[in-house]
Amino acid sequence: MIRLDSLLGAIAGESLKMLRRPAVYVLGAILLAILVLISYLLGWFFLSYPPPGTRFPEGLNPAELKRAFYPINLVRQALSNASVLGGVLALILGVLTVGSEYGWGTLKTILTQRPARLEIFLAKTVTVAGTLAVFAILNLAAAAVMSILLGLVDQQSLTFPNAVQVIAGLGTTWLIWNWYAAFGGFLAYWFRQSALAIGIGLAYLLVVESLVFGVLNSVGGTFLQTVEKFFPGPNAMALILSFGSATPTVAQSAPRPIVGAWQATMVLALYLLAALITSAILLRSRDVT
Amino acid sequence: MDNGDLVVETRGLTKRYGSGILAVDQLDLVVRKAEVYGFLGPNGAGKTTTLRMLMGLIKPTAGAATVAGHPPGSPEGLGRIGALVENPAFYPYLSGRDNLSVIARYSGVPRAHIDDALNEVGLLARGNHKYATYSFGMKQRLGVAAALVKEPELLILDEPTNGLDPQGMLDMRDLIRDLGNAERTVLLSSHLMNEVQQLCDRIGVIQSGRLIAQGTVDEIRGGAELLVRAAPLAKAESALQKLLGADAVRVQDGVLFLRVDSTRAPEISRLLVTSGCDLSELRSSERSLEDVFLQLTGEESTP
Repeated sequence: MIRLDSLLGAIAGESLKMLRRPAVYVLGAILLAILVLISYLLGWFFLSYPPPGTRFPEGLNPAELKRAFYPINLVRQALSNASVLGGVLALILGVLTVGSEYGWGTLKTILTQRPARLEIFLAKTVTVAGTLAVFAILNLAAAAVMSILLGLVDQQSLTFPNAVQVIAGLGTTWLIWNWYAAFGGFLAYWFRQSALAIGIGLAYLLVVESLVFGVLNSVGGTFLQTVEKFFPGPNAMALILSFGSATPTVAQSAPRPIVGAWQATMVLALYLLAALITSAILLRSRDVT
Repeated sequence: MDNGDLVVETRGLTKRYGSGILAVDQLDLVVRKAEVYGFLGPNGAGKTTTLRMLMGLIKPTAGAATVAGHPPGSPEGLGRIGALVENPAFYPYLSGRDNLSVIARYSGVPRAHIDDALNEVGLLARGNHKYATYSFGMKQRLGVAAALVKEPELLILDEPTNGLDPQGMLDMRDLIRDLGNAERTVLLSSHLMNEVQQLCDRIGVIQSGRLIAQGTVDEIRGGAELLVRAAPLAKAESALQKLLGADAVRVQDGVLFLRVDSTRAPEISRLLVTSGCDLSELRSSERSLEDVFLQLTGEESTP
């Protein structure tokens, strides 16, 4: 049974730890730096000052491609940070939140206070989810600032996406990052440490979900497409692609989502739920030495 | 004895690890309200495993326990217990005060308790410094402060003087003595005999996971004895057995030990002289807890 006062106390304790932890700020700074540098400045600079001899895909020109950097596309551009790179950082946050407790031996310190193990687990989950919500908002805010700046530099009209798209974009980013963080947390509960959990988490994320699926996709085949539909990474990508492309011309050469947005959301939610339930079982059932 | 006076009670508490190691074997432990109980045993005897079970960190393989009136690890019980189990463990990037703040928030106790606890262990001036910068002794004291933040009825301290320098040990013992003076119950685990002898009202001795003795320090040590050196030994032993009974006389390393009141020393002296024995030494002899401990645990005393 969950007691609200006990849960709120544990959330207050976890929030203090999260607020004071330098690693959280480092992860947030890296996240924003990736967005600003890779998703905006690098691409904009390349399209504004293309090296001599650069050839663009047929029907596409730099001006058309640069529309991705203007305010109307800020949600799509912010979502570019939600997949692999943002996922890696969310996974590390999930691992650190749990794995450090084992490494420092502080898990036994908090387990011998008043809250029950399930309340402590929920407090950690809520705190990580809250932190990722802040990250998602900052990510979108940074995209808004960058898109306004680049729009002004290029003397483009500052048209913004509607509120529904903004909220959907925030929700999508938050859901994807929560899955990766929950996966990282699960690995940390399982291995009772950070190093192995980060190693295995990154190996899965970068080797299985990025490299293997990338190579197999280039080979093609309906069997692979069916298999992919059951993995979280391709579903996260499908959810991001469901927001469409910057312009209709760009959309013609963009990859198609393997499943619809609703199905991708459900698959990710199920993976998130499974990771949380198995983590809770691990924490509740195992000895802490 | 009223069961309400029992703060810790275990019945057949057993922990066997998957590898087959029997860490704690059928332990029956009783700690009464407002006493300082010494849990004494050599390294690896099962003290920390027992304390972990009492705190709900590990599950017993068999047996049962109640701690502060509740099953181990239950939120109701944990709210009434302050513990330092093994080494102090805190967040290195937080200050001492923030570490206690995390614990206070977790435990739902007022923040005012934080400064009180820091003051009690003498860390108030260093409260805002990062935990990572603390010396081992300061970390140990912060561990005690963390146990005190809840103002617990039961304080469980696992080898709190481990790793401290002599002055640090003295300070820690003074602190524990103060903590045990009020209504608070203290369960102190240690392998240091003099520490337990100085601080504890009652003790339990654990060896290879089994409780081999439990009682007050005097009960465990046995009463005082008279030490007698006399020659010839056999003649003196025979005369004393006639006077005191065979059970009251034992010989160890050529010395006679008599379990009698020391006021009978003149009578014994006269008897030995009139029996034709040469009496070279007659004095009161108290066994130290260390002697008893080594005898109980079957270890040889080193000179």
